Amino acid sequence: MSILSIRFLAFLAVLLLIYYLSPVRWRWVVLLFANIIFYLSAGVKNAGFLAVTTVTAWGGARLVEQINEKYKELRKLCSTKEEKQENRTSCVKQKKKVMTVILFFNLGLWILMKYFLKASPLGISFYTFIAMGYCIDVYRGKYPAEKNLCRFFVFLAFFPQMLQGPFSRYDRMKDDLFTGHPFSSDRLGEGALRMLWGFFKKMVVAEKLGCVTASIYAGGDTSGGIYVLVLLIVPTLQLYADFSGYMDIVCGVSRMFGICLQENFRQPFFARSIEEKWRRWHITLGDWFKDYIFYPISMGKWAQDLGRKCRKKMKPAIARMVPSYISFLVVWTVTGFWHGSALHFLIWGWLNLIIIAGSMQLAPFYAKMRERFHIKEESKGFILFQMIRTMLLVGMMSIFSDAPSASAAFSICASLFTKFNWGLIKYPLLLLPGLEGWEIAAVGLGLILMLIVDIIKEKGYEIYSVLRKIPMPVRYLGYAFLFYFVILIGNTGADLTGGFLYAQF
Amino acid sequence: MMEELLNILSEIRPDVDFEKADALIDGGILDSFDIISIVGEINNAFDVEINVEYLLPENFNSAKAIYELVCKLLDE
Repeated sequence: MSILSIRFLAFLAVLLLIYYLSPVRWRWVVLLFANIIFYLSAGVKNAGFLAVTTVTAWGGARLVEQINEKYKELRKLCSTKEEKQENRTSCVKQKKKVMTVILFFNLGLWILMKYFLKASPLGISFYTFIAMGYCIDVYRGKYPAEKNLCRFFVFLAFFPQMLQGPFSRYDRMKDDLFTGHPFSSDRLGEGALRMLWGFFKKMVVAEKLGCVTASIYAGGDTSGGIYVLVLLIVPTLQLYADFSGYMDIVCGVSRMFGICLQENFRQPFFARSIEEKWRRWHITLGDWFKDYIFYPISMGKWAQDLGRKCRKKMKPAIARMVPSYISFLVVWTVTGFWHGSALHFLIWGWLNLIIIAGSMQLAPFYAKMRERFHIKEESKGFILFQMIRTMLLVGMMSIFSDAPSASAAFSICASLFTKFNWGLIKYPLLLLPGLEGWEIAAVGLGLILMLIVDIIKEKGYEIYSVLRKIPMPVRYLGYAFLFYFVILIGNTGADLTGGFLYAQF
Repeated sequence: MMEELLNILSEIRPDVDFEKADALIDGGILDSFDIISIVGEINNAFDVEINVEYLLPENFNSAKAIYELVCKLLDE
């Protein structure tokens, strides 16, 4: 069921009633049944894949923990350093065998479904990665494995995160999921308000901006040339409204149950570099890649051996970067591949890598240039320049992820210089094809509201506290205004994913 | 073992006096590239697993702190 549907809202209302009428210690069982019902509504076959991942990840992590316990006991019998070392090596070897089987099985299943059979079950990219992260954490001894299979299922298949994440971590979620929470009208109201804000961003702003993007990519008169400049801005704003709108809805739903989902966005348009943008945009995906791919590869034997060889042939200052850059290359290749197997997704990933690595290497040069031209790094003007530059670079790269193919992306970029429709600059409304004048006004208002909310958050204020300071009639008039727009012009999306852009991944 | 550790550190950053330095991270002497190379080399040389959870400034501020971390992992 789509989270934008009336059916979902009815499901949520019934669920909240049952949740808060149940004894506190059994409230997690209500979530268990909610997960089952939500996922079964997407089809029994889909649920089969989720069940396989749940059982294998849970069983694998339990096995790893049993190996740990066994070797802890054996360690007590070791008297010399050598014996302890041998015991530890043997333990790591056994754990690695189990991990290899579990990770390759689940990764293989994900690759098979997504790239070969092209029939991804709902949420497979998200729950597979969450499950793998959980297994690796248990392997590393970060926390003990969950003993109860049903509780593990409540975590892995927590229904609000099934569609597009976030990539939750078990240690952050478990207390919220299993403790049970007393009823709080404040929390319920805050959750509902955040959901309404998410519906507005997705159904009004993102959907309307999506009409512009689709019209430009459809070709014909409304494409190429000056429209490429529109592509530098509109699709990024659309994706932000779409994905962060989804996050607002699912965080709002979770908040109603007293569960705090990890945030995926932190005002990304205030980023001053691409590297910072990735610390503010799809945060849980970036953290996942950093913890489970970047560090293991860069600190792994293969990359370090290469780094050592390079130290013998190159200057130490350059050689020391080799393991990290190898890992960067893998991470950005996988990031591109995660979004899709076509070449243009890989180019998008590598463009990110080139810009991030280039900025790191050129940092001393930039510092010299700033000094030479007497530019203060922390001056407001320079910060604004960096933010706009970052946004335009993100927009330029998005052409490679959004275009149907790599050659189409290059053609679109080239048309900026080959298609001479620059006269249209005199008619700005024509640069937003697919929208009526009043829709442009609605979207513009929505974007201004989004900017105001982001500025408030960036300044470190808690949004609910700020809202409470506004006189009640004005506040409720504002909520009614959002509701009115959602009902009047909101688009609910056609399928069970609600048309969310990231659900396709 | 301390001598072997100092050799590893000096090979990666020959310009740093690791015997005296006690603010390698807080003082900005080592950056993330260095830490990754150092951890990789230590994992290999001492057959330990310094994973992400241990990548904290207090574990890498001095050769002594790194030595203590390795000893702790060897003793596990």
